[in-house]
Order: sequence, then C-alpha cells, then structure tokens
Amino acid sequence: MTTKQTGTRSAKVLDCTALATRHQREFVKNLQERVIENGEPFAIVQADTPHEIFHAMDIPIVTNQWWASYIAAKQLSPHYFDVLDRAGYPRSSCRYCSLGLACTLDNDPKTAPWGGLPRPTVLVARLTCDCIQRVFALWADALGSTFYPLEAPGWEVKDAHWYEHNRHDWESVYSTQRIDLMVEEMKGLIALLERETGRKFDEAKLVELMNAINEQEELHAETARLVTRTRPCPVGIADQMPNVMIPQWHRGDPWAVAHARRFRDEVKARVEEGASVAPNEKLRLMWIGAGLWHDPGFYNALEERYGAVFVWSMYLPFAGAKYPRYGLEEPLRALASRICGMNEVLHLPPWMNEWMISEAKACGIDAVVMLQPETNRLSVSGTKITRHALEAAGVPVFEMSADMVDATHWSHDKVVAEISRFLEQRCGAKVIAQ
Amino acid sequence: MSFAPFYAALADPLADARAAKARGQGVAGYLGPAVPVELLTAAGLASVHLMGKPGPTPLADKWMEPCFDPIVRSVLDQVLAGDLAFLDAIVLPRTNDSQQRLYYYLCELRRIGAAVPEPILVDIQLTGSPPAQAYNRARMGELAETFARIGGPLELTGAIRLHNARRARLSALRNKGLSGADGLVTLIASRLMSGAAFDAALDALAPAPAVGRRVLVTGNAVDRPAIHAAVAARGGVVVADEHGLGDHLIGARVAETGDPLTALAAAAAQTPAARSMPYDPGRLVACAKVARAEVVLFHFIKEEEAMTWDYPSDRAALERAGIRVGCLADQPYPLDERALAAALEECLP
Repeated sequence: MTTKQTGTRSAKVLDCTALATRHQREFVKNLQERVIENGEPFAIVQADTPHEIFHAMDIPIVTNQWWASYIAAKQLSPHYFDVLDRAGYPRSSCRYCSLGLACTLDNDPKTAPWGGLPRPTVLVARLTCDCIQRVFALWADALGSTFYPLEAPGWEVKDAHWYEHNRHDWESVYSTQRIDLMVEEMKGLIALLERETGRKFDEAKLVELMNAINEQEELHAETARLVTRTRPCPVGIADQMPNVMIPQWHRGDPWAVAHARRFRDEVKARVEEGASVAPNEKLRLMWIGAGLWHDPGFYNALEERYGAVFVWSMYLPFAGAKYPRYGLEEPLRALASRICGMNEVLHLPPWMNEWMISEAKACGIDAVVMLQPETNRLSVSGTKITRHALEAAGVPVFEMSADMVDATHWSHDKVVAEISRFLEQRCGAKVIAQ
Repeated sequence: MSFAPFYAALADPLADARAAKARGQGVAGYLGPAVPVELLTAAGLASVHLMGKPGPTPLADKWMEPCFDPIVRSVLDQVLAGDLAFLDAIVLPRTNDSQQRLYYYLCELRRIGAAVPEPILVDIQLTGSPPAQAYNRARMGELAETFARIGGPLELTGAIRLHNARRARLSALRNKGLSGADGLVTLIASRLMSGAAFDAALDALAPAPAVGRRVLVTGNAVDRPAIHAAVAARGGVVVADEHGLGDHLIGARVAETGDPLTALAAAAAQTPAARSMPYDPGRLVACAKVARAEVVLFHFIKEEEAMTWDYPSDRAALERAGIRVGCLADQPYPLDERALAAALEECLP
C-alpha cells in the first residue's frame, strides 16, 4: 500500500510542544500495554462525551476525533476511504467520524497506526448528527463491543453570550431539562462501566477531578489571552493545538494541569521577550473549523509572504470559554452542563456566531479563513450565518472548501494562492517577502 | 373514483392552508412525519406539510451551507421569499438533522430581524431509554401548551381519534391496492389538504388491485411521482413508499387510552426517521414482505449521511430474502431521470 503525501510540515517554536506529543506517544504505548498485555478495559469515545467519568474511574479512553486526526496525519485517509468504498458505503458518508471505523474494518495491522485499536469495553457518542449512531453501532459490532449513545436534545433557551455566563450560571444557560437527561444517561453509563470493569465510581474523585480541570482550563484561558491578544502573536496554531488538545484528552490529570502551566509559562516568557511567530506581523487571521490535520504546515504558509499570522483557532480559547464549572455541589450536573452544549456552541447559531464575533473583536482579527467541509453537515453548520455576522462586524471571511481529514481533493498551493488573492483584495495585503 | 383533488393539492400545496388562514384559522406548517399533527388539530390549528420546490434557492443559499437536504433548503428559501409569511408557526422535528438545524437557523434569522414565522421544535429523542422517554413526555406537554397558546384550548381525545381513523382508512386503501403515483400523491395530499376535504375525497376512492411487478421505494423522501411513473412504464407498480413522504406519513396508531401525551410522545419516537435507532436490518425485509414487493429501489440524495450507512446491510438482507435491489445514489433534487432509468434497467429489466 502506498500513501499520497499531500501535507506540509508545520513550524513549531515551543519546547512544551514536543513534551506534549511525547506524552501522547507514551500514553498510547501505555494504553496498548494496559489494554493488550494487562487486559485492562478502555473506551472509544467522541470528543463531546463526559471523559471525566472515565478519568475518575481510571479507565483509559481513545477519542475518535483524535484517532481520526492521527490517521490523517499519517496520510492514511485516502486508503481508508477506499476501504469504506469497497464495503459499499456511499462516498457522501461523513469523513471525519468514520476513519476509525474504516481502520477497524480494514483489519490490517501492518497498515493501521499501532496495528489498530483492540476491543474496547464500550464506545460512547453523543448523537449530535444523523450518522454518528450508525458509525458507532457498526464500529461496536466490528470490535465486538457495546455502543452507549447519549442523546443530544434540542436547545430552546438561547443565551447568545453563553461564554460570559456558563462558568457559574450553567444551570440556566444549558437548561435544567437537558442537564437532567444527561445526568440520568451518565448514571446509566457509570452502572455499565462498574458492571463491565468491576471498578467503582467515586463522586468525591469526580469533584477532585472537576476542580483540577478548572485549574487546567483557567490556565488555558490565561494562555489564550496571552496568545490571541498580544501583538505580534507569540505562538502560532501549530503550537497551540497540541498544547491544548493533548492535555484536553487527559483533562484533570496531574500531567495535564502541569502541562497547561508549562504551556502558559512558556508563552508568557515569549510575550515578555517580545518573541513572535512573524516579527513582521501585518495581518491577524482567525481559523474557524476543525484542524486541517492532513496539512498542518498550511497555517504557516502566509507568514513570510504577507506577515499574515493565524493567531486564533477554537481549540485554545474554547478551553476557557466552555470547560470551567463552579458550583460543584452536584458534580454530575455540572459535568452534564459542560458536555451537553459542547458541539452546539461551536456549530449552531446564536452560540457559534456570537462567540466568534466576540473573539474576533477581542483578538484584533483582520480576516477569517473558514473551513467548509462539504460532506460534513455537522461541521459546516452555522458557518454562513457566522460569515454574515463577521462581515457585518467588518471582518472579511474566506470560505475554504476542504475536509479536515480527507486530502483527496486538497491542493496546498492552490488554496494558498486563493487565500493570497483574498488577502490582497479584501485586506490590502502586500507581499513583504517572496 | 378520482385522484384529481390529490393531484391538485400537490400542484398547489399551500392552497388549503391559505384558505384556512383566510377564514381566520391559525395555521402551522411543518416538516416530517414525526410532528404530532394530532396536537395541532387539537389546538384548532390547520396544518400543512411544507413541500420543496425544485430549482434555484438563492435566498436560502446565502444562509444555509451546501450539505442540507434540498427540501429543507427550499423551505428556507420559501420562508425568506415571504411565501410562508401567512403561517403562525413552523414546526420542525429533532429526529431529522437537516430539519432540526433549520429550526436554529429560523430562530437566528428571527433574532436578527427577518420576518420568519415562529419556529417550534418537536424535541423527541430516539434511544428509547427510560430517561429519554420521560424527556419526550415532558416535551410533548410543553408542545401542547405552545400550540394551545397559538391556537386554542386542546381537544386532544377527539383529535387522536380523528387521525387514527384517517390512518386506518389509508392503511386499508393501501392494502386494497392504492399504489403507484396515485398512492404517493394520496399520501402526500393527506398532509396538504384540510382534513374534511381530504376525507371526502377519500370516500370517493375504490382503488383497483395493483398490477405489475411490485416495487418498494425507500430512502430519502420522494415528493413527486417520477419514480412511480418510470416504474409503471416498465410494467411495474410501486406498492409501498417506505420514506418520509410516503407510508411514514400514515404513521403508527396512537393509543386512545391512557395519557394522550405519553401516547403521542411514543408514536413520535416510533416514527421511522433518519436517526432512528437501533438499526434493524430486518425491518426493510419485513416491509417488503408485507407489501409483497419483488424489487426494492433505494433513493438517496447526495446530502444523505445516515441511511447510506445502512445500505450495505439492507441490500444484503434483501438479496438473501430473494428480493432484487436497485439504488439511485447521490441524487440531485429533483432526481436525475437518466440515473433513474439506469437503476431500473438493473433491478426491473
């Protein structure tokens, strides 16, 4: 099997970035050891599920989105899409959430990262789109495991400024009825995990974890302010993503809290030194969408030529906006409020557009590049409304038709040329270096 | 016997709704078979299933991304064009992703000042877990209060009986041979015409037994009888429409005893939907057997992202049962007639 190399490497400047990726490699090695050699339970979960329950019960998790991004970064997505084609699944199927399933269906340890994932105790997904229950049910079947779905009910109370209120007023922001439902579902999940693994859930441990997560996310919030408010921007997206996302997969773990502090300290030092991504920063760009996992170097492509720097991507600012929860008398309720709007605030109006406008203003954004993954309704939702809102607020937006993990139709040079034209025409960008 | 009133309703889907409004009655438009029409009737509201209009949708394209169901896109375009301004509400179900996202888009457009009828969400969950059932019952209660606010005090028992009677009549007619284009158009008209006019027209029907190779159409909603006409041209007959604008519109009978809101919540949760779960590979085979279908034709729009995951298993199960299968995948709106001919050539030679 050959893989098509479409991506470019990203430029990273922080020492802690290598530490984060090394930790993740060690975690994976450790996971394989715990699960395969020691026969310990683990779970495959969506990003917007209550990881805290697994952490509190010391059950390792593999996050589907992270696994998909890892597969894509290995340039394996075209191969796995062929696997889905051969299995008879139409091409219009959602790409982002199905790479892990394809990897399992392929059943080829020589090609799969780490030889493929072993059988998990459970797969957990929140039903935020029409296809995820299909993908996870098929995946659970293929792995001989159980799928535990969490509902994603409608959200009729709309606090457009959720990011200002939800640390303390989470009960009203996320609606009691929605929190009630998720709490009952989490109790069911806990019962399943206790039954299947023999491990006991301890609420006091959850409270301890929630407090540690608050500490971690507040550090990320501080880092986000330093990164996105400082001119010139001290740290680009390539450094932001691993330093927030890897700890986020392990949130509340002592390593994750310590890493969040290490990240903050390193960024703060760069700010104090006046260090920057592009000393000649002319344009501050906002990236809206999931990471472009198959071409991480894309984010650096406009720095030298135009001094155009991607200063904002959702992953880092979202940590402080969405995760901290105060008032932990009923920790499962607080946790439910963290999870039950996780996807909606990023992909539906008014939550998405109002947050993006608020961030664009606060970060001095000159232009936005917005990912439009046309085969993924969940990911693309709300982007046009957000575009209108941003344009009305005076921020030009470039809509980029591409997929987060599918590099089949991706051309780095073509897209960079298109964005260059957009920056020249809409933002008056000038070439400062060839 | 005449199907003319039903074809007339399909040609002008909003006619009866507009007439009701002109008489001073409140009117709600809605999408999808999971919306509890019994509640709308009980509140004294006229109701109409909103239909798509093939063609450009420039107004919707400004706000809605490419991968939405084209019927949903068309409905948004009609809203923004003012064609649906006479409606008192637009009711959308949580059980279909494109439709539930339209709810949020309409809410936002209203928030920023667009003239949009009040969007209402039927917030039904489909896992079937006890907490989900309790949630559904509570939401159905709130929905009843909302409709009572827009219409008037609810007369629920009578409304449930009325719709159950209509269901029973449609099911009986299906069993007696109501099929082909006439069958599809009758089913759609049941959600476009005023109840009294539809029931009167139904009284005049005495369908002849279906003749020809029996075909079941499934997948995404089919809102006009192009497939049915093409099947008939090949000597076949569509005897079942297992999709959101076909037999799903008949819906399951709602229990007439016990708590009516619990019964309505249960019926809404059981209505087949894109996100129905768990997936049952035997369901479609069972439907084909009940309809005595020899051929099953799948129709998927290019924006479909759920049912296509079931297709390989569905196809295998049908073929094991000795039923021929054809597939119209990645279809535009309206569907590509050359692709239709090719699919029928394969499964209905």
